[in-house]
Amino acid sequence: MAQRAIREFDAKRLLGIAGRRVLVGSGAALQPMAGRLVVKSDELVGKRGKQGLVKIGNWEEIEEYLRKYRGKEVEISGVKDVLEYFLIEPYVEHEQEWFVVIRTVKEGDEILWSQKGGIEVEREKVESILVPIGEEYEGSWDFLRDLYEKFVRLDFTSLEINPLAKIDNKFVPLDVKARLDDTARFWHLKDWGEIEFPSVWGRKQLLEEKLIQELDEKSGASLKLTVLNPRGRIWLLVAGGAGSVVYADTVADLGQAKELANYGEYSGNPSTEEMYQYTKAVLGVMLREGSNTAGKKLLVGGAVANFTDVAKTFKGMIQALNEVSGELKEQGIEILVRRGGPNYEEGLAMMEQFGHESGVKTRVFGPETPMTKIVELCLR
Amino acid sequence: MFTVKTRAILYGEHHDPLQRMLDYDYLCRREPSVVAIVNPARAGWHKVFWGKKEIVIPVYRSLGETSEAEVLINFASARSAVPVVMEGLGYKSLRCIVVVAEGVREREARIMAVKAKEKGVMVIGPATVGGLRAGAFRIGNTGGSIENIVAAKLYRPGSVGLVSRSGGMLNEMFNIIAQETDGVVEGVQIGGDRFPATGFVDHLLRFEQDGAIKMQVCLGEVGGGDEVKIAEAIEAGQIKKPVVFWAIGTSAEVFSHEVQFGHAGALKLTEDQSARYKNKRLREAGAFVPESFNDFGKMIGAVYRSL
Repeated sequence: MAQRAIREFDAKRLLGIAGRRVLVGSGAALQPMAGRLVVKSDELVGKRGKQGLVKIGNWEEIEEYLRKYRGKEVEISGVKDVLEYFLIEPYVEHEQEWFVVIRTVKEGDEILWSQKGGIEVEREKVESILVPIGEEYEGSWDFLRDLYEKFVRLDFTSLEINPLAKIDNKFVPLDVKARLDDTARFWHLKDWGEIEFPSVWGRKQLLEEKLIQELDEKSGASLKLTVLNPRGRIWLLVAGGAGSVVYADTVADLGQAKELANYGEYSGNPSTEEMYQYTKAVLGVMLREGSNTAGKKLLVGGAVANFTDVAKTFKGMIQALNEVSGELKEQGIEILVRRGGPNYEEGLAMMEQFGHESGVKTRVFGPETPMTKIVELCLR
Repeated sequence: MFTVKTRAILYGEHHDPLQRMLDYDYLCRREPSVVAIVNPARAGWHKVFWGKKEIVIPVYRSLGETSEAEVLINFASARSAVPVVMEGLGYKSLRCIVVVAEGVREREARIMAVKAKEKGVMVIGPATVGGLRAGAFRIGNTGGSIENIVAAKLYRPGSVGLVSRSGGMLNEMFNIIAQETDGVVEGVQIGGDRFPATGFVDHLLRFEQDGAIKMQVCLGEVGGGDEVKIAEAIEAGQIKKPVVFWAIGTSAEVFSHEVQFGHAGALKLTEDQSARYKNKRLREAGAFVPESFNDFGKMIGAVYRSL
């Protein structure tokens, strides 16, 4: 897996920042809080202040704000989505704003900070140091030393506190953005607690995407599915973490990015059953949207595999294709295959046989054909 | 680094990659490259084909019991892969350690890379299939089936050094290079994670000293800063052999929101990590960079013919 963003609520929880803090989900009942408060949308989206998604006030004003925005669709930087989560916490009276960023580079962890301003500080007022990997921050700023210790111990991969309020000699993080290394989950079952890695703004996960994510987490192989445009013409059922990107690039190079329905990949020799589940999920979304006048295409692509068994993976795929072959035919969907690797001749023959028996238009190519050729062919 | 005499230890008793390595050795008419297997759960012997006859490879419970070798191919899971590397760094004969596991913690991977560098050991990975020295030595599953080894002419050296972030695409590139040139001398997959222990430049500088290699091919990706260092090394005059380069993931820019591609490292965190920027930067530094992946093979062929 990878570096993944978390909610501000979780970031503040992991950093142990003092103060009563509540995460309001879309359905939760509201418990009144006393004093002067701040509420802000807690989605993975920036520029909240400018979008009017931060509000300061007493409980009544906060409630009114929530009534206005909770569950509402808004457009941010050209992308529409529904506001579901809000963070409510005490408002912190302050005059001075600093900022701190910690990020990981190959050689170590880079810490940047400024004592002269928060959000829009000028570049020349930013100070920075690199803490070589495996070493400790030895500066004199206690707040940063403590923060960095947590950053390392909890497997953060980036942390941005901006603004950081300075009140006398105390520091209170106001806005926090963070990413965790999700491969570390196993080591942090306790200290991370219940943690969610929300999807980015503009794309709430579909049921099928969620299923594939769960399948991926359980499997030793890799299975990924991101639906980009369910009404698109070109659907990818392709192998390889990078091979799949080559397909997406080629579709975009040919000026058809808007028609690309999904990004996805399978790799690391998934089992026949996993491939059945994976294919079923892709076909599920593809068929739901109905036929497309220009004709939908399913690209069963991939490079020449090192160790993924082509026959075994295709067997699972064909199992799922067979279940919906009637609908595939009805919607006039064409399948284009290009693949090489262990047992590829058997795999390709199985695909051809599927085409013959089901009547679904299927064109099959082997390693002698360039891998992206099927993109060009499907657009003709 | 890799020759017809290179000996390897497999950490993890995995039959398929073992058999593939021995089939390759047999095809290249060299001695079996795998001298020992480590399996913490059992000691004994592992049967494997050597041509048409069967031979056995000794299985030990720990690394300390094995005989001398230069390469450790570490199939341990993401949770235990790094401790195995740390142990391996204590053995003098080992010059290269390959980490196959995907999902190694980034901080652990970075610590491992630093320790390996201190010890002068080349670590390839994490998240790698490994690599291959044509006609000499194959790491695990690299190059796929024996039919593909033959089709991509990987049983004898050509003129090209290849470095790729991806394993599947490494093998695809073996094929493309075999069509456009006389084939590869060596190909390495640095791995798709955010922090590969050795990066593009580490291998390109090694290839630069390698008399058999006449030109270099690199397949990079969106995310991370490793590719930009190639440009810096070319500009500093450290890399003089022609480099044909392409970074995949140019389509990331046309999506309206962030998409995490298949590799953990394949997500742009800053502008200079985009595929478009990398391609532009490498072109400016004097590398041969095509307009799209489709033209990559043609450009490799053109550079080869101009040698």
